[in-house]
Amino acid sequence: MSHAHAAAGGVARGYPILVIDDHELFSTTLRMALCGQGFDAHQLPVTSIAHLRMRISKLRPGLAVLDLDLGQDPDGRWMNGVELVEVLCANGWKVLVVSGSVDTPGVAAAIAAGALGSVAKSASFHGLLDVVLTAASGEPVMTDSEHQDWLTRHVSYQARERELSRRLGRLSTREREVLLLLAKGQRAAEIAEYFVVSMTTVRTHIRSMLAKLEVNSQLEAVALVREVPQW
Amino acid sequence: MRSLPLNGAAMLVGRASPRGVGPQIAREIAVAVAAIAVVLVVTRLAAVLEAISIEHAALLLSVTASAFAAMAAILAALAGRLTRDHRLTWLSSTLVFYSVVDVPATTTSWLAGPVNPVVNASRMAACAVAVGLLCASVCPPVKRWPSGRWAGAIVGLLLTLGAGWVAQFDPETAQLVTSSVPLRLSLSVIGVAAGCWLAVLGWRRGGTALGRVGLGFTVLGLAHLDRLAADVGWFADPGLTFGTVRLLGLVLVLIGMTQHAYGMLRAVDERHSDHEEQLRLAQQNLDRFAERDHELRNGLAGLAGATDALAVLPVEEKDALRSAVASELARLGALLGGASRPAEHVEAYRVRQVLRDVVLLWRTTGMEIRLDADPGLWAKGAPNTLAQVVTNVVANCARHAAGSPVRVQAFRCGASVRVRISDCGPGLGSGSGISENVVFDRRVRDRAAGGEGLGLYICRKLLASDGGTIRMLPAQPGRPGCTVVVELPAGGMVLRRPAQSAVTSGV
Repeated sequence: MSHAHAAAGGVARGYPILVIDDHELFSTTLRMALCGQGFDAHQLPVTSIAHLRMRISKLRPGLAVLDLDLGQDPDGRWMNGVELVEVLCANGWKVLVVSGSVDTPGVAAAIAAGALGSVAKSASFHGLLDVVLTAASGEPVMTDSEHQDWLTRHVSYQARERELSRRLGRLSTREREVLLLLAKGQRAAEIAEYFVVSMTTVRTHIRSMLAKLEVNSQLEAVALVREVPQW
Repeated sequence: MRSLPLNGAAMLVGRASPRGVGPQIAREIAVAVAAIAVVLVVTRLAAVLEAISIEHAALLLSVTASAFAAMAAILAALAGRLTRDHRLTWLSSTLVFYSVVDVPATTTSWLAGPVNPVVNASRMAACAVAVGLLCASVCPPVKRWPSGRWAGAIVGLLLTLGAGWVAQFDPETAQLVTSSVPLRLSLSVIGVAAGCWLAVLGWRRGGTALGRVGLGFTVLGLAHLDRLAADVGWFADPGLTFGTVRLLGLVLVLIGMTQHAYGMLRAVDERHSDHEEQLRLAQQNLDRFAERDHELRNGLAGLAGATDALAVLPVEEKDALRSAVASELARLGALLGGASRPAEHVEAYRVRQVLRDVVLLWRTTGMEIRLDADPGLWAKGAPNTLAQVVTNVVANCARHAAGSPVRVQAFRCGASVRVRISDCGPGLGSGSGISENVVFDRRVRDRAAGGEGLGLYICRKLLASDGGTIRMLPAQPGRPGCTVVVELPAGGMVLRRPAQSAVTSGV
């Protein structure tokens, strides 16, 4: 099932559709449903961003249904679908983004990069299929004002991210390591053991880290790390 | 200090062992005694007495003593409030009373000389009240008199003023009472005893800070022996000598109180960060659950879509979809299995029964699966664990070796039960770059065939809680396929109910 699959017989409607999602059941079901509606649908196995770029450049452009969270590549890096949006658009594709989570900054970035719109995976399969069908027949999936709204949001998300990156940039190497371990759910005592330092030292690191990040608690610090995914 | 919930002083100096505390106490006492001796000698030197003016010295010593006592009082109030230690709050009011009433009264009596009955009476009353407050600090009457410390200080102030007022009506009796040696001596002795008691309490708790405070109060008690000392006649100016000793005592109290308050603040800070950490861990756990819920919801959405697709699908597509559904179900099961399960009662169960149920279920999906198991096999642990592990492994066979026949064997091997699950698929193969040792780690997965890489990892964790293991046999050149071996601790061969005929017959 990992290979691209052509629509079974007949003259295909609308754009050819490519489903790019690491979630096997989802992409298989969606492809089959689209084929059932008479579209020429394929699915691409998700391996690495470089590999996907290469595959995309060889295919005839159409509509791409792209998941934003593509899991980890073989080197363990998290693959972000936003990176693919620009490549797809540059190759003449129309992109509809599927977001597994309520990852609004990701969706905003994808729309700013040229995606037609987004649809939540948690929506009903019928609703999702409707949106894909609308996009595949070349109709807009959102109004101009909605589009503008997303662009405005993207600008504010970017500003927020720049601000957070600036704060994170103040941290020393050790404070950075401590913060990453905290974000992984480690206890201060475990961190002290890991670095072979005293609890007092770790507490000092945490305190200065909180001051540099301009937050009041470990909870906020960890939440801040989550907001800056590439950090 | 039994009522102390936080052992700040002990944290500050480390909870010293009794052997470590002994020499330290001896050293502290020796230093205090040496300092007092130096003061006694220096204040007798003619050169010193000539160089300073007694009035100036008296005022300077008095102001400094008041300031030190006030600082120590503030620190004691802070530490007492932080730790809800009643001894410290009582000590705080003792120190406030001492700085506001006692020090001025003593200085006035020093400067006014021994013949002023009003001053003498006030001073004696102030000393008595201070000693009373100190005794109350050592043994705080919290239950009977919860907010008595400030009332005590105010009543003490009134007593002091009242004693002076009464003394002016009958100066002779007042003079008689205030110059009574036993009365003065006993007041001082009670003060010294209370100080010693405080020091012992502090040291017994393993902290030097409170011990130092106690030592300071002991020295203060000694500093009020000036009148008696004046009768001995050895001192050039008892007021100067004992005023300096008093300052020495207050320095000790201030140092001890500062250390103690610092230790308390640090302990409070540590407790605060512990709470914060617990909050963070709880939030992270919640996030993890939210992520899992989200994954489950996605899986359900996918399954709902798949049922729709099944209705309209051509026959040749149905196989592909069924395999996708099976792997999704295994994934969702694994996700749920990975969450904390209620501790199951460790019991012995029939291995064959469990395996037979799993095999039958997979056979309904069209898989060619065979079971060979000894009906008399018992294993210890939770039967659900074995069922889930075998389901996960077979799901992996279905995913990575689609169409291959699968064989499940169970036999006894020493003190354990061994379950072998093998297929004739591609195996791990050298091309995938995944070795049989890491395949059970989280998120190791074969990209081309999909899956979340959680299944085998969860298998290992599940089995570990039952004392079992799971491993993958290294690929053999001549034999295709992949073999997973699950080992479980063997259970006793106790037949709790008669063997059923269905169990012994083939599946």
